Order: sequence, then C-alpha cells, then structure tokens
Amino acid sequence: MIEGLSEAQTAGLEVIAAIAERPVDELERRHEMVADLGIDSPKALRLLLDLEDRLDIEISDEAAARMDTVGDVLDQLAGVG
Amino acid sequence: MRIDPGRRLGGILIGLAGRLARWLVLALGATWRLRVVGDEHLEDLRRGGGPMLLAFWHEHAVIACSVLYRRLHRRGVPLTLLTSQSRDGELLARVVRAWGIDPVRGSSTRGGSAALRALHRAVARHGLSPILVPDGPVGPPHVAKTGVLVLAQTTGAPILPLAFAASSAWRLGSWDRMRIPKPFSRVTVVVGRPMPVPADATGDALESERLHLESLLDASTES
Repeated sequence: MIEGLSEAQTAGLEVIAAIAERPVDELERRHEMVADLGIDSPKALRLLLDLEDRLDIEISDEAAARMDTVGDVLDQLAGVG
Repeated sequence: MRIDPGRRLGGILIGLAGRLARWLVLALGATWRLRVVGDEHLEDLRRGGGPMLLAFWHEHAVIACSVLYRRLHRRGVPLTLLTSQSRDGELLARVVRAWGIDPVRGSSTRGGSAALRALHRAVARHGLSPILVPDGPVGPPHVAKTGVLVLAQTTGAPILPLAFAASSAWRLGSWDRMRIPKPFSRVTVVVGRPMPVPADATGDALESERLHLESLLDASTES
C-alpha cells in the first residue's frame, strides 16, 4: 500500500490499477509498467488517455517516456491539482 | 508582440505552396482514369457506417489524397490526417486545411504518444476516419509501424487498407520513392476488406497482424 499520496496521485494509482487489472493496494512504487504490470502499447495508450481525462491534464511525449514505473507516474502527478 | 519577418515570410510561402499543391493534386487527379476495386467498403463509410482507419504506404500519398478527397471527403465523410512536425508535415497540413480537413500534428511512432492520443479521441469521440501512413514519416518503406494497429485496438475501428497502381507514374527521389501518376494514366485503387485488430492481441499475435497489414498494403502496388 502506497501512502502519503495527493488526491491526483491517488486517482492516478486507481487508473493504473484499473488498466493493469490489479487491486490498488497491491501496487508498489517499484513496479515496472511493462515487466510487472503487463502494460503493453494498447494499455499504455489507454492509461495515458484515462490519466488525462480523469485529471484534466495533458501529458507530453517526454513525460510519458519517463513513466517506467508506478513511482515514475506518481512523481509526474506530484504537482497536479 | 514581436513579429519575426523571416518566420512570417516562411509561413506565407508554405501557405502559398500548400494552396498550389492542392490545386496541382486536384487538377492532376481529374485527368486520371480511375478504377476502384472494393468500392463497397468506401460506400460503407459514405453511408455513415462508422469510422475506419484509412491506411496506405507513404509512396501513394499523392494518389490517396486525391482519391480520398473526391471519394470520401467531398461526399461528407469526416476525415482527419496525421502530419509530422517537420517542414514537409507543415506543408501537408496546409494542403489538407485548404481542403477543409483539420489535421493532427505529431508522430505516432511511439506507443501512447500525444499524436496517437489525439487520433484516438478524433476517432472514438468525434467519429473521424484518420488517414494514416504506417511506414511514415520517414520509413523504412513498406514496413508498418505498430501505431495504426494500436489505434485499431483501442478504438475498435477497423483498418481499411488501400493499395494503388498506375499505368504510368513519376517516381521521386525521396526515401519512399513517391509515385505520382502521370496525366491521363490509368489508376487502380484496391480497397481491402476492413481489418479489425483484436484488442487482446500482443506479442506474436500483434506481429502477425502487422505482417498481414503489410501484405494488404502491398496488394496491387506493382503494375
């Protein structure tokens, strides 16, 4: 269970869990999106779409390319909201 | 506000080049003797049968733009087009804007890229059929990247493969050796059966779909 998250980070974690089809409380910062969670290209596209829609943000290609782990995604969302 | 005269002049020149290119493509296309094989699939689109991903090799861009403009856009089928951020992409964007088509700018070569997200929304939310070149923007020629497949998977829209042949054509010296049919040549368009891509296809299964798409896009290329 990852603690100390902002509202946006919590929402982001829920989006990751939904796309990866995993319970939220099973996710850890160190989990790699592809190797551990099976987030392939179609799922990555859905993940980014859902993050943008739910949080009303735009994610640049550069930021998306840095989202290798759950922790990376949460870090990107640290300043949102 | 500061105005950069050089940049402004460049924009004007690209705008003029875009209008000239539009006129040339339409004028040239009007002389071709066109035969469409599989027109019933275009008819599905004209009857509002839902968006499809219109795909062809980059070398056929001139033929395809002319044909799709006349056969789909002018008959009310809402289209969009992915154009690169390069200077060539800007010229193409100006051309299609002059035709009343709003382009999406960017690259779809990276999974989940901003351009792919914009295309997804254009298809899924607005019902637009995007014009895509799976070997673009810079090749290698006739090698499909996975962006179009991913888009088909996430939107549920099938890929409509388009192949072209011309009895007589110029070949440019560009990476794709772009074909431009000469005036009054016979141009054949082969519209393939719409190709859905299973949402759960990954790994070898997705590679198999990619190779299948390549074979469909190669159909009738040689004439």
